[in-house]
Amino acid sequence: MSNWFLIIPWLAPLLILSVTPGRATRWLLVLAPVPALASALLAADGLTARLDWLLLGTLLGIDDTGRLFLLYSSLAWLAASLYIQLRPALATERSRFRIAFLLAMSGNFLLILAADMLSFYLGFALMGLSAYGMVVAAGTRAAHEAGRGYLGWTIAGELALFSGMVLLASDGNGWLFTDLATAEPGIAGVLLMLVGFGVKMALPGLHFWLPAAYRAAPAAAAAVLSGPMLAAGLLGWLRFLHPATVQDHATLFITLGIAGALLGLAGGVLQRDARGVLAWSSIAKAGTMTAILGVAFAWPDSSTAILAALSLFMIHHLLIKSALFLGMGELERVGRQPWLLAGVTLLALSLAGAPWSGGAAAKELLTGSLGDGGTVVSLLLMGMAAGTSMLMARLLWLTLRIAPRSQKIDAVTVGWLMLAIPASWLPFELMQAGFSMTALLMLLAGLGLFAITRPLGAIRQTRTADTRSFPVTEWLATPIDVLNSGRHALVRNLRRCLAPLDAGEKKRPVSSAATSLLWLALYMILLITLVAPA
Amino acid sequence: MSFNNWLPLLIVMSSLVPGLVIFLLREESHSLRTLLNLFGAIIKLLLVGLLIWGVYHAEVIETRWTLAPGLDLVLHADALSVLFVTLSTLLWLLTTIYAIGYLENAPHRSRFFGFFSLCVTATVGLALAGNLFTFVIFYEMLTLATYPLVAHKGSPEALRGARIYLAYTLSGGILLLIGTIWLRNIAGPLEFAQGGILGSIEGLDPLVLGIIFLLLITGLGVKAALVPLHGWLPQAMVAPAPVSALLHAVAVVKAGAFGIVRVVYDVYGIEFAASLGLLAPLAVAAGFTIVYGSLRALSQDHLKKRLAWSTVSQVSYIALGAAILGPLATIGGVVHLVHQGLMKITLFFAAGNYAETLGIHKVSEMNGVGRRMPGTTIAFTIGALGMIGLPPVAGFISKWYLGLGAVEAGIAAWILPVLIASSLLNAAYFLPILYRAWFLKTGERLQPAGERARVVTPPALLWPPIVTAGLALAAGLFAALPYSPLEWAQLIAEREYRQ
Repeated sequence: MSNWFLIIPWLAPLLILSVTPGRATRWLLVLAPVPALASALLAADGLTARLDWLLLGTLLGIDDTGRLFLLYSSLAWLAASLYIQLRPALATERSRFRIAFLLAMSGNFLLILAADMLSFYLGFALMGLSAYGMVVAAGTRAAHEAGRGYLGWTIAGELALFSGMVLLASDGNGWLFTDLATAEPGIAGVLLMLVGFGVKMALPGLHFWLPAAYRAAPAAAAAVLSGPMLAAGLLGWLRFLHPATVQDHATLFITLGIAGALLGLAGGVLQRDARGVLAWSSIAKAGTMTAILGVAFAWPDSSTAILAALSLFMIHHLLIKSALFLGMGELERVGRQPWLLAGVTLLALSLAGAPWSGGAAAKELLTGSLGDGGTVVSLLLMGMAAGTSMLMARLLWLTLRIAPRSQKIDAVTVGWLMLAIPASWLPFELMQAGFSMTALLMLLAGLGLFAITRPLGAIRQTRTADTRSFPVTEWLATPIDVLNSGRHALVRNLRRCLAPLDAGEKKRPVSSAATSLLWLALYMILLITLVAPA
Repeated sequence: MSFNNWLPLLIVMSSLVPGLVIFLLREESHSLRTLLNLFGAIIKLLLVGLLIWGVYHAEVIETRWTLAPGLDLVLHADALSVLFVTLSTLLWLLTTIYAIGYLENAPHRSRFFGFFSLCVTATVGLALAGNLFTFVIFYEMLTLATYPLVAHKGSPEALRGARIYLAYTLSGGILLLIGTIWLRNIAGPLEFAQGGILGSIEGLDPLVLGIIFLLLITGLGVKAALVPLHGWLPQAMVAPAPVSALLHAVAVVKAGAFGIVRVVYDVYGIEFAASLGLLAPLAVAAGFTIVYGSLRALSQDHLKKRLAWSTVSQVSYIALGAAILGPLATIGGVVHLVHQGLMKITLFFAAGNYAETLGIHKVSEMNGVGRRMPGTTIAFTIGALGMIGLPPVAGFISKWYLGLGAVEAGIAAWILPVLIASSLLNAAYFLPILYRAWFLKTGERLQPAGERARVVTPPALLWPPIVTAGLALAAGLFAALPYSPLEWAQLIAEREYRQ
């Protein structure tokens, strides 16, 4: 019977999907993530369930990593669904949004509990594709464009993942994750895995969809996109690639990760809207985590400790980002408001790794876990601490510019604050986070950097959170748009052969799938040139 | 003579007899015709149930007449034929229900249902054919029985489409016949046998075998719409929706693909064909067709035309599976025989529903149909996602095994990119449809404001696509269950590679 702990978490959202929507059953949405939460707390260690009837025979299981991801992902989903219920908005009231939300939730929980490739892939695809409905929920032109980019990249990533799985399954003679532990994957398999999950983790070159999607999605959707769904990318790598077998390719992860971190910081300082800053800081953080993953691959002996610390680092990011995006939703809704600002500041400090925060604890744990790879990563982490502080300072500065609308504080804001405070420390205990001089210095360095870089994004006064950003950022974010300006003959021709349909929509931009394909091809070429000498 | 000697014949008769009787019925005897149709379809389904049980338990189920010494007409059930017979029978029942709803009050229904039954008789006959000679006879019968169905509307366009169809398939039939006679002369009676028959015959010239293979595959490739022999298929979409559905999912196109599978596995034998170097060209042709069909589908605004090009692409998955040496690819190809049928018939049913209830024929008119026809559109969505190869719909399972098979055979370097390109292109031409259906508002231009509400689709039209979509979903989601198409395909692969 305890098998139900592994089945109900992802089945519950699907069941609720079949009874929603109706006035009486609206609140079921909030119940959907509860079984997952219960499983994370109650399921016995090492519990497995074999479902021979599902797909090609499915194995589910819960281990320490899975429990950690399940617990905090379900919390984030719970917070998001509460927010949807408490702050009814046009976009999130539509049954279309609710369906997408529940499907994505189900996929997310399934992939966490999956112990074989195919059920992981099923969950991952379900989550990734359904989230499209969340990105476009606002129904604006910008939302539809963001959705197109999101979907194109997601499909491209999923296909890369599929091919990678085929190769890995052939190498490992099976599709259970345990089959992969000993088989050394070929370079093609690793590259495809890198790209497959790299889209979710917004590695440089695969990140184009992210800022637009985070901007366009309703706050609750952005919260789960930036939290649990980004984390699923890292979990994918943890599941599919075993440190013992991919040592040769560690450099690739480290290089791309550091590039991603730098790209995220560079993009972040150019932003003129709070959500944009958060989006680019996600790119930076995901890059950092990719680099640390690479370090774990490079030193397989200490990988267990590094990966454990990395998981906690990810979880911390997941919680903070989810809470911050919900906070953004509040700011956009009720305007600037002292209590909200206080909460956002607390979260921002924690993300920046300020002394005594959960962020600081995460960094200390990581530094402690590093054996031989210590110096590189410590430097990276220090740089990232300063960089993130800089971005968070920008975030606060931008939120200060949001006009105050009402001074009333209601229960929802208080509730959010009650979530934000523990989120700043979790998943660490309060006492784990101590004071360190480095952390303080990096925080101050970040403030200094902010002071220097502030004018970059401040050419025009910012009023609302969704103002378009600096042209350079546009270029960084969406070369697709530059292509779409449509003056270039090559692009015109491409468009003609790839999207000649739809007489009614002559001005349709190049289809995202095609653009994604082009970028993916470029990316693969780049990767191959990187790898070829080795 | 035991019952097992009668069973294949009874299965063929169960649609032949009602078909012949229907020709004699007057146009107005609607109930009697419906009764006959459904009676035949259900009897056939029951008989097929017995057949499945028998073949699963390795019984010999065979009907045989000797026409002349060494020239036998054989109906023989093996695992492969059971797979195809089951698919045809099940989908025939559903298509019959659909056609009854679709053609309500249309003229010439007796003619239509008569030929419809003959078409299924031919399909089941060629599925059960125990040697190449019998196969060719039913194959030609299928060509002729389908012609009146394609031309059914009688419009100049329909007549033109049917003429093109006939020209292509008759030429293909002649090549197939020449190949068969030639092979019969040098190799004796061509009884299908698991593992192939030519490998064990001494003294055959490999060059001659190669030429005959080319003749046979070209003849079959016309129906299977292998590029460049595919020209008739997009023209034939002028046929009424139930005919298109049957044509693309079960009868004509599938008969070609099934023939290719038969020739490769049970006449030449996959290992022998590989040793002659015949598989690589077939794989290249299939791979090219897969990509080319999808590319052409991209630019079609007419919904049925887009689906037709998609068939060109998807059916070649089956040929691709047959052209890769190794049991995993065999499983992928053979199981796609069923999976593609379930998914494609769903899509054509849905297309028929859009045309019938809303008068929508073009992709560009499909804005907002999701809200107006939710049941049909959900079925369409499942079919489309399956075509892209997304889990848990059946198409994913086919693609997974084809991919594994390609790695096993050591040709993943070009097969995997073909599969990926195909998926990407499938996404590029199906997702915009889903986007229009679910995320855009109904256009002002096309439907007046009052018509934007939900419309009621008659149950006979609504349920067949829902059932087939459910089956496509179940075939993927529960692929590991006993008697699933996948398990059956594994059984076939096991028997083909036994030696």
